[in-house]
Amino acid sequence: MRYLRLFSLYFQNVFSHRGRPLVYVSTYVISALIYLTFLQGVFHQNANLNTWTLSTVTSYYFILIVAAGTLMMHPEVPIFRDDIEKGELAGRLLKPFSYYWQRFNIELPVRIFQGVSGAVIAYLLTFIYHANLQFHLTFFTALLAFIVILLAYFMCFTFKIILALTALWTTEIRGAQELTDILVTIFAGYIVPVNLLPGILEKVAYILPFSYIIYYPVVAVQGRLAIQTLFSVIGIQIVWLCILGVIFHLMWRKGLMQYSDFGQ
Amino acid sequence: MIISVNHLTKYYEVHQKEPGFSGSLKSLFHRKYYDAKAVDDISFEIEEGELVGFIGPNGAGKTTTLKCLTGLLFPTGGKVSVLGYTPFERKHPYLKQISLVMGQKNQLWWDLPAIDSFLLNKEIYEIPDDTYKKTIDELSSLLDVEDILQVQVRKLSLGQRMKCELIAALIHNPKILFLDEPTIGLDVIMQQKLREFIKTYNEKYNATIILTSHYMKDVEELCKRIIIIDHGKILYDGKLESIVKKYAKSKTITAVFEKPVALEKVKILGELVSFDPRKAIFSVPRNKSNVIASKLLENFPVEDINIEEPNIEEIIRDVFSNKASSV
Repeated sequence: MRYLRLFSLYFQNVFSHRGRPLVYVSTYVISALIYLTFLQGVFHQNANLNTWTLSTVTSYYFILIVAAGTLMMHPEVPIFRDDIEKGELAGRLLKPFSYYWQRFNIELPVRIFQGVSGAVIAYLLTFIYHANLQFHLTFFTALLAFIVILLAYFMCFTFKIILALTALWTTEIRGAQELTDILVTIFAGYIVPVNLLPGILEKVAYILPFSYIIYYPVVAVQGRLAIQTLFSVIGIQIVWLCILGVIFHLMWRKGLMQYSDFGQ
Repeated sequence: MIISVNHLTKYYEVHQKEPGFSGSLKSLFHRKYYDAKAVDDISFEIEEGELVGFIGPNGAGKTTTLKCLTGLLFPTGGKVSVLGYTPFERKHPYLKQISLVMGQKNQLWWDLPAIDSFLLNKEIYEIPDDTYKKTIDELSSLLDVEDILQVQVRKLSLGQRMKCELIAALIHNPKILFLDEPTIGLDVIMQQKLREFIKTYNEKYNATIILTSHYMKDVEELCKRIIIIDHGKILYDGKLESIVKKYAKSKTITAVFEKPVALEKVKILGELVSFDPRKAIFSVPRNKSNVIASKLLENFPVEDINIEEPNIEEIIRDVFSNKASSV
């Protein structure tokens, strides 16, 4: 109950900025539509590309709008700007509530708000594009897809918080953040679905964690993954989560030992 | 002892850059670092219920000490124990018993009313509903902020925000309150109100309060005990009245006369700070102030006489400048 009440309070904070989540969702919508427009040209030349058709790829980008709004979060921005640069970390550290979960609770309502907004916009776009969103899911594959989404969420959050914590040493993360954004754009399946990437890029995408944050949740929801593949994806996500968890734990401990909280 | 500090040391690694373009270019390839000693081997103990003033010039190490005591900073050396806990471990039972208020930082949600931040703290600190309501009613009444609890924090004045910050910090009735320059930037009336509140809170709840401030009024009105720190070292740790007796070499006697008096007769009594035929101000050795006052009363038509201790600020300034080794 306590965590539910806390979540409710953090959710109230999201509503104080009605415009901001919608602006961010619109960036995902615009970029998804640009990539879709490009691919529509490709699919007019070639009706079937590596199991993708125009219909399924359109569906992919519409679901991508929701996935990007829900799963691709940016807690590193307020962590770096407010907590580390401005010194608000001091107040958070002295609360009897894990910093990780404080930030998690701050981020989750924003993601839900953006996800719902993205879903509404994606649904409206289906009418404009005359798209037929089809989800080839059974109850069991739907359950596994949900687990993939959940693990993707935790992966992204942990990865981004690790990125933010580098500021405890470097005092500046904007370069690293932009580099990460570029890698995410290519390897998470924003530009094209990962299995349409050229040979070496596709291999790199499967090694890096980004495709397990966006691409696999989207294709899992579409129902394009067999049960075996779903289990493999979940296994790899768990491995990544363990690796990220260890890195976070080590960085948190070491970082705080040399944290100086300058400014006051 | 509720707080025990033994040989606490905190160094910061600071990058030293030469000025100018060549200095910037050099630092790209090779950086020089040096250890800035913020706190240098300090020890002290504080009992439950004490209200201790931590004073020192800018960069003395006051805030760093406070941050080590709360667990924000990892000490370079030494041992710190607060309520039986090692602060840096930041265990939840420890954090539920302390609170830190910094005058220049805020913890309230900027875009929501203060009451929402209080509710958040209520859940984080797991405060029962009835205790929470009682505490809020009491504190908001004491600080006179009942009308502004529903107003967005960013629309509050600095003084109002400071009061709400204090309430947020006290919702969980901490045993130890660390106040880092709480009256900074406030007007004189608000400073006085805050001082009264801190005093009342200390008396009512027997809370241990450690206060840092640049305003001597805060220290004079609130603290019986002060710790003076400069360049990371403790220069003085003891009662406020003792520092006056120990370091104030003289007292000031102000005599107002019924009739004009001659300068030649008055100046033999002691060092004159200022004189006009109806009023004379003397600076006299402490141990002779009563004798000189008696002579004034015996030999002159005194209408009013006042013996004052020197300004505490001047005494502290002398302590800083002499870096009293006799502490």
